[in-house]
Amino acid sequence: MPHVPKPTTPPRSASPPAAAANSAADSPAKLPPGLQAEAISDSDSASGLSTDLSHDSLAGFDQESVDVSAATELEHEFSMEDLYEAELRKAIRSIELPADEEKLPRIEIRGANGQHGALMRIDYPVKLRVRGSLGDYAFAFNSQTVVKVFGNVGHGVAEGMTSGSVRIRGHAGHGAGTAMSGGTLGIYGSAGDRVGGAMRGGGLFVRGSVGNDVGLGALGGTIVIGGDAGENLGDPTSDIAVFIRGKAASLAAGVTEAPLRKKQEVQLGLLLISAGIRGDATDFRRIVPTAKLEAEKAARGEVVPNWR
Amino acid sequence: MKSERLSNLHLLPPQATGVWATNPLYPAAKQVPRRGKAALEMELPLFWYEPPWIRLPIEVAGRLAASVANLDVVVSALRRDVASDDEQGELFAPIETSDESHRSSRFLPRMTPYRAERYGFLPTDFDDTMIVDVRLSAMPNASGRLAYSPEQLKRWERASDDSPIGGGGHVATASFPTDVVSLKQARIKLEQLRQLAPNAAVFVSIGCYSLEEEVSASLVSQPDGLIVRMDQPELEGIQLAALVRRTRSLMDEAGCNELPLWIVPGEVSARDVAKLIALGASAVAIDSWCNPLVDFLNESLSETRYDRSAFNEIPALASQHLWDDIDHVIGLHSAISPDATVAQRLGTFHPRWAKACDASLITP
Repeated sequence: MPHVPKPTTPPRSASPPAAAANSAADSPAKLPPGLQAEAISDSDSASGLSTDLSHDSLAGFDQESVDVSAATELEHEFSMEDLYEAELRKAIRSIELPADEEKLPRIEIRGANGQHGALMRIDYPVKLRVRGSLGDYAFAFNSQTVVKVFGNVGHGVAEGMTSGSVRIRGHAGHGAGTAMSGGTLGIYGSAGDRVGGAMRGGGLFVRGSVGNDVGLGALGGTIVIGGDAGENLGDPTSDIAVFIRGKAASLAAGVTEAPLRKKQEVQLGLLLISAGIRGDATDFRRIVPTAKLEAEKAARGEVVPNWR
Repeated sequence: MKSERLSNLHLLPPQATGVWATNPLYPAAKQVPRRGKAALEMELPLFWYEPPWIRLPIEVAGRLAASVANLDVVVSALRRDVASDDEQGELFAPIETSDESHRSSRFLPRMTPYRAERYGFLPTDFDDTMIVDVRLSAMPNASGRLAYSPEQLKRWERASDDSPIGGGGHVATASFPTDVVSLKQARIKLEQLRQLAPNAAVFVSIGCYSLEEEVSASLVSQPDGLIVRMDQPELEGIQLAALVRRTRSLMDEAGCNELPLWIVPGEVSARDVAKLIALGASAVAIDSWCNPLVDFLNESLSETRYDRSAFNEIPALASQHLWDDIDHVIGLHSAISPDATVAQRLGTFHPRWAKACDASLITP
């Protein structure tokens, strides 16, 4: 069975700080009861996250972050405990952008403590580093913003993302990357059920394992699973590229496993490098609708847009 | 003349009293209360819930959507339904006004369908919308499939002819959002949507076949209003009336008597709309009035080359086609006392109807 994540702290509202206590009390459980038994222990999660740099994903994550880890290089710092969500968004958007578009302003976000709906739709070209864990729907409808989270996130992280990137050093709940249409979502821990559900584009990789129904209702994009998957992996009506390194408990009806084609090996290899994941693309298999695979074979490997 | 489904119900006039008095004319405009925020103003208790935009070219769909919304009917649409990617779209543009202080702050009444799959949804769909409609019930499309057609997906996802979505076939609809784990947790989803659309009310749409379970479960998520789809053609008038009454009773029992209840009834007349409001609905979908406009435009305008004058006349066409019925609703609504009970508002000569919807039994 796949590894299932568990947030480190009870989620609470990202809106008015005064309402936080109520929200935390109202939503104590982040995972369905049946899954909680398999959740990771607290010692493994956010505050206790391993800093073992020999771990391929974390090495990549930290390597990419090293240039901003020194406090002297930080340009801005905000606390989620001091600002309402709308104020925080406004503060971030008020930061002046440098003339050099390649050099994004760096912002440290402190006070992350399980808030729901945090840092959604920033829509501004900045780099955010978030210390701590966030609740549900963090970074929803993200575009342009480059985000790194040193903690866990709840359900629906990066829902509807259109561009930019969101990287989570910890674990994610259910429905990660739901309906995203662009950008990159990286989860360096494990993720729950329905990862990439209704995904429409972009890239989504999970270094660890994922739950059931991954890629359900997805129309396009790429999903890479470094570990194992649960039941019903893939979607027979989907055009997404699903790559898995471990084992799937079961595949969805009308879906099959197939070796990677050369072009896909290159595509996946680049994605792994970009994600900082060590490993060979040939370690992965692709999950593909049977009808699509048969159409490919009939056309001798050529791309067949109308395969249904 | 539209056929009446609730003809066995009579809108009752005020009872005669011994004292000469004028009757107040109750306005059709209503407020949509929101949790922790100012109420929204709604000019008419009418909305167009499921317009078949895919049957019209985008430009024509956009013009028709704006034309109907200009009549103060709340129109449901995604940006990609009715506007090209490089244009703002008439439905989404600020209302032009001579008052500088209100310029760019008023918009046409629009509702944004937030489907479980979110195909075609853009972040900008949250902007300046009046209602975010979280659809929790999957309904068959015109072909009877619980799926989206290849043409629909092509428009929503802007796919090219040589790279169709999902291999070129139908794509199944979903019954529940993949990022919502329970109806209780849906409350957090609704809070999220309130943050993303701060000027809107967040409603939840459900079907009518499991009212007992779905109404109470939906209310747990604390929406600003409830939309119930009762547009199945099999439903008879008495069943429609009973379902509306039952829904309102369930909401009352849950302590949500002030919560707006919007009904999607299928084929209705202006008198039916008034009776549904008398039964407890806050607003009623008039898809059966608006959809013929789509049929007419579809027949008269070719996608590739249509008559520009006909295109320019769409606002007049919409007004001409809809206004009499809208005005009739406004008139009938003006006689419905908001404080009266259903039995005071409606009467019937049929015991079955009286029992089904709490109307007064009139004895000849």
